[in-house]
Formats: sequence, C-alpha cells, structure tokens
Amino acid sequence: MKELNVVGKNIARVDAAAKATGKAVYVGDIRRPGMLYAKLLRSPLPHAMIINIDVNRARALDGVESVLTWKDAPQIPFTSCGHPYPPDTPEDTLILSQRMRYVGDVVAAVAAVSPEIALDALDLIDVEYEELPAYFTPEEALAEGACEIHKGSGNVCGENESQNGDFDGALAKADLVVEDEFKTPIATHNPIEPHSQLAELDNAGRLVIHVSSHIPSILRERVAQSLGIGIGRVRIIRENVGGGFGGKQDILYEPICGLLAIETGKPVMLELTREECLTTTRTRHATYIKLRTAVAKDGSILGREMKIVSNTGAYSAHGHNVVLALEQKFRFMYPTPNFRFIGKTAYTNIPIAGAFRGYGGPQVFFALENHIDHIAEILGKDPLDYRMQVAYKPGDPIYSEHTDLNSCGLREALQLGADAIGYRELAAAPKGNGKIKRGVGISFALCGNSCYPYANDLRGARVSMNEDGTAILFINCAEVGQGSDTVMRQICAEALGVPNDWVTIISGDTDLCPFDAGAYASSQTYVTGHAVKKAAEACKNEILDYASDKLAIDRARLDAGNGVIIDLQNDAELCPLGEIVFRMFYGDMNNASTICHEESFMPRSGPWTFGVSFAVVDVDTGTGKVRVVKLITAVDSGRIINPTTAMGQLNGGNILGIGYGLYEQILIDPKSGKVNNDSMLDYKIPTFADMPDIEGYFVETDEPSSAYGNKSLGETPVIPVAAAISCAVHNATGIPFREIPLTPERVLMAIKAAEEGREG
Amino acid sequence: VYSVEKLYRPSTLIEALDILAEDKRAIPIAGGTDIIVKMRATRAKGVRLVSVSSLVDLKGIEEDADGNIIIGAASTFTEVAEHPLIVENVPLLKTAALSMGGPQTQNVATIGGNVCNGATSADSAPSLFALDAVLELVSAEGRRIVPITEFYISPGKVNKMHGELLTHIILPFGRRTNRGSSYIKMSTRNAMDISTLGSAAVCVLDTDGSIQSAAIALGTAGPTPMRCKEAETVLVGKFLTNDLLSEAGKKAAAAANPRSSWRASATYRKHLAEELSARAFREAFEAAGGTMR
Repeated sequence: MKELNVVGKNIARVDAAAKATGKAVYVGDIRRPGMLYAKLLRSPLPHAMIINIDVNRARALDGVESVLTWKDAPQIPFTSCGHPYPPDTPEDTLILSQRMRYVGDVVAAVAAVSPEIALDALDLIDVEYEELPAYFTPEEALAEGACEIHKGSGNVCGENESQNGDFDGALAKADLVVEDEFKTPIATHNPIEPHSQLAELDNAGRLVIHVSSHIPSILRERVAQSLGIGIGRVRIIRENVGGGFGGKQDILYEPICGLLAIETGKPVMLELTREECLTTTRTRHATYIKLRTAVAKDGSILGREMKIVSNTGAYSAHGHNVVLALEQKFRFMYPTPNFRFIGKTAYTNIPIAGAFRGYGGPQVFFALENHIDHIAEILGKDPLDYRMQVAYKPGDPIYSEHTDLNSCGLREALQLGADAIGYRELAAAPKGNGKIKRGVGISFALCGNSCYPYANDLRGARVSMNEDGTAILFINCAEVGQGSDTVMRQICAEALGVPNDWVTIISGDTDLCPFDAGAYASSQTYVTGHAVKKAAEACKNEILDYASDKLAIDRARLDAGNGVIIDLQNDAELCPLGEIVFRMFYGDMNNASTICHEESFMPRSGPWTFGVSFAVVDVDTGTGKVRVVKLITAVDSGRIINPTTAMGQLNGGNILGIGYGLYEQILIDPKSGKVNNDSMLDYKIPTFADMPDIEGYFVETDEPSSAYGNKSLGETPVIPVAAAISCAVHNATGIPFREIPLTPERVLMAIKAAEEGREG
Repeated sequence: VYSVEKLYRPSTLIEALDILAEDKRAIPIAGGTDIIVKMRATRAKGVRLVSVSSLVDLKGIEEDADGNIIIGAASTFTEVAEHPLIVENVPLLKTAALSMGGPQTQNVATIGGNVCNGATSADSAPSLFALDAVLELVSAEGRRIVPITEFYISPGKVNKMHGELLTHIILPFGRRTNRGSSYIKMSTRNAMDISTLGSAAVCVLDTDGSIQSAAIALGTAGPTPMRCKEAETVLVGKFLTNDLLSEAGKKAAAAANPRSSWRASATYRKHLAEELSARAFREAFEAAGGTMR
C-alpha cells in the first residue's frame, strides 16, 4: 500500500487534551438557569397493569413542576432499536405505559427543582397494580398457555429458519455426530458515564435534547415519532459520550425527558443512577444455543446445525436482529453446503436486551469454538490443526450473505497469533503438577462493516473551506469514545491534501451536521469515511480547477498534499493551497464563491473483518479461580487509519471480552424478577488488577471497497475473548464448559463434579 | 443525595467523646468508605457525623515496652500496609490491608472503621482474630478492653455502645522468632471486591520443627468472623504432613457455617474454608521456617 500523508499515522485524538484535563463537557455537566431535575418511578413488579395511579400528593409537593403518567403521554408505539427506518423489530414500546413488563419499567416521571425533591415526590405517588404472571426465561415465556407480554406475540419477538443443501443427509452419511448445548449470560454495558439527557425548548419552541448517544439522527426521527411531532421540530445535540458499547444505540429516556421539557417549558435534566444504568438500560441477549455437526472420519465437516433461543426481555429493542447477525457468522466460519439454522427470540419479564459490542458475536463464537474443540478432542486432533483444516480459507464457498470478499487475512492472523503466543510449545507443555493448571485456547472472530444489505446505512459529510485553506468537517458520525472524530479528520485532511491540524471537526448536532445513521455495526470508518473522503475531494477538485486556470497548468497535472499545490509531472511544489483558496474568496470581483461540499455514502458491499484470539490461563483447581496469563489478538481490519486509536479499540474490546468470559452477569432473583447485583461491587467488570498481558497485532490487508483500504474494528476484538478463555480452561482442566461466565464457583464445582465422577 | 445535617470536626479525642456523649444521633465517621455508601443506599436524612479521621490520638502504629503492637484505629489501610512494625512482625495484616478495595479506598479507609462496621467479610478481621487482637474502647465514662473475638455480635452489630470510640487495636506480644503468618482472600476479582472467603493463619514452631502454636481464622464463613479452634488443636504439637494439613482444613470447613446467597453457595464457601485454611496454614508454617514431612 502506498504511504499516505495523514492516514496511517499516529495522531493524537482530537479530544485527548480536553478529556484528560476535564474540560470536555458531558451532558451531566450542563447547567441552565431554572433547570429542573427528573426522576423516574419504577415498577417493583415484573409484570403488572396499573389499575389506579394517584399523583395528587406528588404534584402538591413544593418544588415539583410536573408528574407524568401513562395518561399524560402520547400512546404511539415505536421500537427503541436505533436502526434507520423502516422499523426492523416490533413497535411495542411507549414513552409511558399502563402495563409494566419488568422490574424497573417506568411508572411515572417527575420534574422538580432539585433531584432530592424529585425523589421525595416519587414516594408520594400511589399506585395500585394488578399483578400478572411473569416469566424470566424463554422456556417459561414460550410455554403453552403463557400470558402474553405483548398482545398477539405469543411471546415471540422474532424468529427465522434457513437452510442450504441437505443437513439430514449429512447426518446419515457422517462417521461422527457431535452435539453440544451452550448458555450465555445477560451482560450489560456499564459505561462510565450513565445514560444522561438534558431537554429544553429553543426560542422557536423546538425541542432540543442534549444526549449521550450513538445515534443523533435516528434519535431525532424516533423522538419525533414517539411524541407525535415533526422531525424538524427536534434537534439532537450529542455531547461528549463517556462510553456506550452499544448501550446508547437505542431510544431510551430521551423521549420522556423531552416530554417533561415540553410540559414544563423548562430545561429538564435526567441522569440515571448507576443502579438504573445497570438494570434499566440495555443488556446483551442471554442465549441458549444447540450445535450439531456431522463429521467425516478425516474430520471434514459434512453438515452443521444451529438452534438458538435468545432472550430479549421486556421489549423488542434490537430483538431478533441480533440472532440474524450471528447467523451469518455461524454460516461463514466453518463452511459446509449442508446447514440448517433455527432461531427464535423470546419476550420475558427481565431488563431489555439491545445492541452490545459484538452483536451476537461473543455468544456464537463461545458456542462455535468450544464445539469445534469438542470435535477436535473426539478426533484426537490439536485444536489449531483442526481449525486450519476446517475453518474458512480463501476460495472456499461463502455461505453467509457477506459475499463480497475482496480481502481476507484470517489465515495470516491465525499464524501470527499462534507464533506470538508460542502455541506449539504451550500445547505440548504439561498442564502442571500442583493445583495450578495451565491451558491455551483459540477463537476466531468475524464482524461485518455495516448493516448492508439489511438496513439503509446512509451517512453524510460536509466540508466547508475557510479562506486560508483550512477546513471544517461537519459530521453526525457519533464520537462515543472510539475515536471516530480523530480518524474522520485524518481522512478529511488526507483527501483534501492538507495537514491534519488544518481540519476542525463539528460533529453530533442534527441542526448543523448531515444525516448519519450513527455509531453501530462497526461501520463508521468504513461508511462515513467514504462520505468524508468524497466531500473533501469535491472541495479539493474545485480548488484544483481554479488553480489550473490561474496557474495555467493542465488540471491533470495538479494535486494537493500537506497544504501545497503540487505539479505531479515533476513533483514540484507550485504554491500554498491557502493562497489559491484565499484568491477564490477575494481575488476576483466578478467570480467569487464559497467552497463547501456535502456528500453521502451508502455501502454496496459487505466485507468481513477477521480476528483471532489466543488465551493462556492458569486455573486454580483448589478455588476455581481462573487467571488469564496472556491474551493475544490478531485482527485483519484492513488498512489501519490510526495505529494508536486502533490499538486502543483492540485492547478495550479484549478487556470487555475478559469480563464477559469470567465475571459479568446480571443475576435475576427467580422469585421477584429483581436484579440482585445492581452495583459495581456485584456486577463485576475487570479491574486493572485483573488484567493479563495483552498484545494486539494487525494484519493489514487492502479492502478495495473502502475509502483507504480500511475495514471495521470496533466490535471484532471483543468477540473471540470469552471463547478463547473458555477453550483454554477446557484445555487446562480437561473439563468442557458450556456456560459462561467462568466464575470461580462454577469452575470449582465442575472440577469437584469431575473428581467425584472419576471416583464414583 | 447525601443529607448531612451536621458535621462535627473535633480536634481532640476528649472533644470527640464529649460530642458523642451529648449528641445521641451523632455517628463517628473515619474514611467513610462504608458510611457514605450506606447513606446513599438508604437515602438517610438528617445524618449527624463526627469526623474522627484526623484525631492524633487515633493515628499511628507503635510498639510498647512489653512488645505489644498498638495500632491507632484511624490508621488507613495504606498506613497499616506500609508500616515497618506490621511488615516485619505481622505481614499477614499487610496482605489483608492490600486486599481491601483498591489503592484509592486503602488510602482513606481505616482499620478501626473496618472493624466497627461489623461485617463478617471485613478484610482485617481474620488476621486480627488469628493474632488475638484486643480492642481499646473509650468513652466519656472511661475505657474498656475487649478481645476482638467478643466484639463481633452479629452481621453489622458489634460490642460498642453509643458514645464509645474504638481508639486502638492491640496485637499482644508474640514470639518473633520461628513465627510465620499468612492471609489468603478469595474473591472473584483481584481488587474492588468483597471476600467470598478469607483465611488467616499464624504458626509458631518449636525448636524441633513441630508446631508449638497454631491459629486459624476465617472471614465470610459465618455471620461473624471466627477462629477454628478444632483445626488448631489438630495441629498443635505435631510435625506438619499433608495428611495433617488436610485434616486441619476439614476441621476448619466443619467449623464454618456460611450461608447460601446469590453471591456464593454455602457448599462453595465450605470448599474454600477447607482449601484456604490449609493453604494459609501451610504458608504460615513455611514462613516460620518449617518443613513439611
């Protein structure tokens, strides 16, 4: 790949200094004169109808400005899934409902002059409920005769079946049929900044909401829909976002905050508490996965089947989309023409599942990779060798709907990871004589680059030139900590032919910036990057046309780089780009114009990003505690735009994956439906003291369908980690694990059971 | 969120005791790492606090003429972990201090607060039990001494009246030679976590290498921290073997009376009591210079 001026360089994040010095403003930092504070009354019951609600005492409390119940809110159903129109999951959500569908569902909203008064007002709301049967697992909710959580749904949020070839025929021909069942936990994003919003009316009476969100444009459309007002009557301003990981890719509390602002005519701040953030935002879908594989004597895979039931909780949100996304990974990874996939997503009375970094990937790879290890074990093959035999290799038929595979560094990543961790030595080494057993595990990862071909992934960008040749880039591409502002600036500077710091970024304001579907599907660099490049190139072309005329040099010979107009024929620097731009504004009394271009892009192909993790673990067989000793991840993410931010994404995703594999699970009390562990003491994300030695590598392929050869990165690094760790624990102990997280108790009890099994 | 009606900031112990004697609703607060969390969780209103964290009388770690180690109750965990008297003589307490929370909490949380909070999971408790610590409690009325084993009454409840302050934790003189100690905390994470089970052990060896005295204590193994006397009895006077160690572990597990909760099952905690008691004692034995037979 040709070396570029700005793209591929380690450039400090646009927001690094502001965030490090505390100057960066988050929603919770904003103060307005006369601002009110909102608090929400939440259902103590998992499933109930509100048969009576009396808010008179609350309204009478001094300092209370508004108390809203379902009777005061528009009853317009919408889906909270932050995907573009048309809705791709059931529209089953209301701003305020008469029916409570999980512990934490919103009963009423209060706005008061202080948060304390708002809380006191909640205590003064009298509610009478009619309790309904509640279900916490798909098994219960899908049982015959179960009470419907959403009318007419049968408690099915979505389902699909697909098949190819002849799976049953493959079973009949197989020398070996291997079956496994897996279970994955409810996990939650737990971003450091809780979900926060400030709603206010501008002087024209339009609703302005300051948000912490992945999806400014989609949010505007859905807030308008839910409130029954025009899209143009809403302005969304995305402030700095203190982490999202997909948990802010839904329409959550923005509409209710907006409704309070409309009702009171005053600015209203709604910040969730940590407990609310853990229990009433979004989660990763808990899944039950059955895999069945028909294998020939030599190990080749003749047919595959996957059945999955996913638990979306009380409302659809991203619902069955997550299953549809993971299905593609299942189909692609270990190719066979004979496969069958059966997926179902159930409603239950638990917190709502949504988009979570990896979007089904961590679940499916946990199951796939442990299943592959199981097959390898039966065949007596080494897990790495067996993967080399059966995993996708360039030239294999592609059974996923991601058919445009023009770059694939999967095998290179596998080799790189194996060498870096010293796989062969580890695999041959004894597991340890004492109580500490060492093992190594492998997992692949796959991730798409956009929602193509499932959704209308439109992204826009506008570049406006200043008179001195510097530029302003306007995008609604959502900087949520992943570094998108930084890499979009690099792409803009590169395409415009100016130094990086000549570009100023204005992002995340639906009044100022062009439409952008938002930060999800790891798509921003791949999709918005194109729009930015197109807009910057349009400006550059206009500048070069003018320069060609004024300098009397053939247009084809001209280019710009580092802020200088260049003669390509002899590499001569002709004149500063700023000089030409200045003349375009001021140099000609009869022929001047501003230079500003807006472009958009929609993907028309769907490449895969590839990854692989190798984990080394030490298992304490006396306590069950698993220590990850080393974690190596190699990713084919195409050309890397910014190595530093890319490594940050890789490490961050890995850490999320460690939490998912070892610690994180939302525990629901089977009697009350309440979340037991609603604190950061008990919802355990890893700390620095739990970090292994983490190494990341990039296999830089050149993806022709992207702006600069780049592919997605955000989600891939989280996908293989729990799988690799659990495979490593299996390798260390000889005991297969079919459920995560691998808490010390789960691991020790399995070890004890195995010991008793041997003795008995 | 925090409704503090009054914050007293006495500058002397006498002043603090007078305030407590007069104001029946006043609660002593040191590092606040437990109290502040509770105030938020319970939405406590009109709280009246007496800050004791900077009282000179409650600070410092010293050795008296008899060789007792006297720990000021308002010593932070960081101060405990770094003090040479602790590091050299009772290293298990250093391990315990560094297992509590994370560096930030260790910098403000005090050992006295940890004890007075009355939690069975208190990270200092197993070590203090194994060391036969005694507590000095002072009120406007006078002073009393309570062995730590009699201080914990039930979860969150300790043998301390209103008006009393825990001023010092006293570790009675123990032989310094041929003595070893250990504390092992089991928790899911390595920081910012509550102990699933903690075990402390102290071992003193006779000149012939047999066990002269043994102490084993457990935290989170019952409603209050506990000593495992039966396990200790099994060990005293013997040479340590794997069989003996495993017998001691079994006795410790038998003494444990943990409850099942969604955090961990009683069965799992019993396994840990057995495993960690044996491990901790073995480490203490080896630190004392012992060799397994």
